[in-house]
Amino acid sequence: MTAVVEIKDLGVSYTSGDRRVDVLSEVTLRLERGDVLGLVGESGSGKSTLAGTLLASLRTSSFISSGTVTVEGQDVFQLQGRKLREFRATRVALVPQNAGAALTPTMKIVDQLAEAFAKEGLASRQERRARAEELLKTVRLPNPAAALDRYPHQFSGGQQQRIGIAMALAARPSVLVLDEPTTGLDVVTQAAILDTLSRLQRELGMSMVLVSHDLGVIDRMCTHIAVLRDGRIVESGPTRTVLSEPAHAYTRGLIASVPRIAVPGIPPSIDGTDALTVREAPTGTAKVLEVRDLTVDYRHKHVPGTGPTVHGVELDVHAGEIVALVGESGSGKSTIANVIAGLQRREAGTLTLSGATTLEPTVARRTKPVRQAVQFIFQNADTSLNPRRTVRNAVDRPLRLFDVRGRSVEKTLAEVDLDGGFAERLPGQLSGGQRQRVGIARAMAAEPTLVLADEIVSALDVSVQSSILRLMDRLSREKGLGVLFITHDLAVVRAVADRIVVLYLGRVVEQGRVDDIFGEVGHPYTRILLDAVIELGDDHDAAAPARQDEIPDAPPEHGCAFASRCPLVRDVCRVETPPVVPLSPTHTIHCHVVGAEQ
Amino acid sequence: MTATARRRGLPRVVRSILRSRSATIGFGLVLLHVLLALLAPVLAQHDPVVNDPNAVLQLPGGAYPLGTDTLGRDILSRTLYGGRYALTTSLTATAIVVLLGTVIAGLAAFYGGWLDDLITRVLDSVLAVPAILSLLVVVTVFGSGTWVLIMAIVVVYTGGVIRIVRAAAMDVLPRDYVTAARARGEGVWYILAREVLPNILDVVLVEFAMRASWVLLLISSLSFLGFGANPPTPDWGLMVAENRSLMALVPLATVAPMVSLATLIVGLNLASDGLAKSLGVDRMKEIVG
Repeated sequence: MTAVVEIKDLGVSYTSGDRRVDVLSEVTLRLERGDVLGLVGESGSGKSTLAGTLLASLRTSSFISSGTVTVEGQDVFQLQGRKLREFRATRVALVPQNAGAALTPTMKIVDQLAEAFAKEGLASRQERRARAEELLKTVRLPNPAAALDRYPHQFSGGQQQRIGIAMALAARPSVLVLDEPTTGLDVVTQAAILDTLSRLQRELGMSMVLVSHDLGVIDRMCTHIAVLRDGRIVESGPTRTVLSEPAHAYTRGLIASVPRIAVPGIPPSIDGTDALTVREAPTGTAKVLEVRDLTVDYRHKHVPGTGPTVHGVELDVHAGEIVALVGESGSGKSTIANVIAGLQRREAGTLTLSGATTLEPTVARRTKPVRQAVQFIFQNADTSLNPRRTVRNAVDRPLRLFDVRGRSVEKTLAEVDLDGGFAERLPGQLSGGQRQRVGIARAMAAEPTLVLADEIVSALDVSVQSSILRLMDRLSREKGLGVLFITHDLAVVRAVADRIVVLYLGRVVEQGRVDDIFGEVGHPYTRILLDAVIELGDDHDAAAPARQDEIPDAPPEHGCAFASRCPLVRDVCRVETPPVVPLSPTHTIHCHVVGAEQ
Repeated sequence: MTATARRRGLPRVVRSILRSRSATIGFGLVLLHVLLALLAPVLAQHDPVVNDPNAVLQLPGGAYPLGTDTLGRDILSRTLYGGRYALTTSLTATAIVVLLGTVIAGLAAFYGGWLDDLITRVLDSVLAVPAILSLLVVVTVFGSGTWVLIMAIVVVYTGGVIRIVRAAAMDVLPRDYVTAARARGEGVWYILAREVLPNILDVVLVEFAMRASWVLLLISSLSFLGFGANPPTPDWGLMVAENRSLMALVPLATVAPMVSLATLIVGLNLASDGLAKSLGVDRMKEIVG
């Protein structure tokens, strides 16, 4: 069998000043027809650079320092000009991470697709439309005929990704390169897209190269795997062999550091110095936050058939407790956090701090001690720190503003395991994990009682992720800190949360202790979420086909918000608000159906 | 790379300016004009405003290297002092324009809502009127003179600065570090001065350099038209106006201020281009936006 892709002793470098920096070195790989190769590694390991070389694409300052990349017998870096364009148009296609941004916003879908198969020379408009529609059908875009005349912004993120895949398939490439194709999507959509991709791969006999940081996705999709670290392949081979019997210590560490739903607790660190840590929920501690009947409405005027963005949300956070607020994008998680922080107005509801103080709706009306007590940690460590101000500035400000005694910048940094030397650095001189630690230090400097942690680990590599989770665990226990941990990642929730609140379209559908939520009985939505999670070591062939529907744009005016997607739906669900049904003293669900059976 | 990278911050910009020939020429020209203006009292042999009936319309040479004008004033002295006048008025006016524009832009971006709407609507209407027309209105109402001139320039140019700085500030305001400051309950001035300004300083600096050349040109044009500096102020535009009918007799009386003005404006333009490039500010976007 001849190889479709053959990479021999590949090296890619760039020069910075007088120094040569190697991005890739001594990479050798082979890909047969029909193989699916997964490239795994942490950020900066060179996996995206390697994927790019298949299209003879490098960053402008980079160059090939050794070796060759051959696709179907053609040395790709020998191609130039028209030949190179032809090669990219016909042989190898790329699906980027954010296909939505890769679509031209002012062009109708049919025209974008027609560009991709222009070389076929389909003369008539009807022929082009027919071909475009067929492509959209292949990627299972709902209502493909109507989609042709719409613009990219009229589709959801998952649908845009499907269109991106359709464009890549348009030229019938022999190799499809996918760079983190599902990373920005929620679990249900991710499962659906991966399902579609693996079906297409089987039907068309394509070879694929899939770049992902998610070992579960790699395990689900790939026949072969290559683990990269600092631009070198540390281990490669058939997926099942590498993942079940990893030969290299780094691969073992990487696999062990992935949080999993099946394994409660914070996974060990990549070098094995920290073991698996299982949290124990605090008992009998006082409430630090009580949210009652919270409603937020973004609509400027009433839209018939739709309800408010967030409605009737109730939740509690106790001292020393980590409460996870879980939901897909658009479920109102961040809105709720912003309301608690006083950054977003609410239409109704009461918020009580530490059982006594009522939280005013805006920051401006809150007293200093209240502002001090509630602190925010952000998702994106890149934008959460001012690039022009030092770490000392960032941490010192809350110390001064809230007049915190007996605490220094150095002491605060030490609490997040950073030594005092970091104080004079600028954010640009820190790694992602270090920046996130500074973000946590800035919040801790105020000595808060409640911390709002909005997706604080979702942008981090797994190895860094577990160390940040460990830190949050320690801080919550040692300081009796209440943490509202907002995330879409159920494995992370399993690792660190004591209790879970599941949100769907701004409504609480289920809440309970971790074991309750991950147990046998629960809300149908939670079941769908759990089923959609793709984990390392699952039996992917036996899994039920993924659901192909998506979250609606707005919640309905009446009834259960989940009724439109619920497999158990009854007539009453579309009319009446579901009752709150206790399944156990610690576990409640909002459901007409499951509750009634109990 | 920690401390050294920080110390190299400013020199990196300077190095990148020096690498570009046009930017180096630009900064060189501006520097030359600044030096000449500073040294004017030393270099000038004569008083720039006192008439000398005994030395009317002298040809270049001897005590008068560039000759004299109809009132017997030394052209070289007037040109040198003209540089002082041009630089002080244009830089003062530009400083006021940029300072005021930055503050208003920051407030508009921060508060948004009706305040932002009001400010942008007023801006749109000011920008819709041709600059020279609004200048003439101000000058007609308040008379001429240096301070009226500066006020007129503030009216005309602040709008453009507000637009650009507002756009830059709006880009910074939604970032998480600003949200963090809001959540702490920081005041508007703290947020604008400490969180936003450091991140838009490059835009403000380029704006200053760019506006300075426009302001200088405008001041000279107004003086030339008789709406700017009052005689006998040694102003380049005024000098050209006074002496243009005698170009055949004393050509240097018009040529010297023209050359001075042209070199300073070219210098300022090249310098602001170089500054924009080395700071990474996109000037095309600036001008259009």
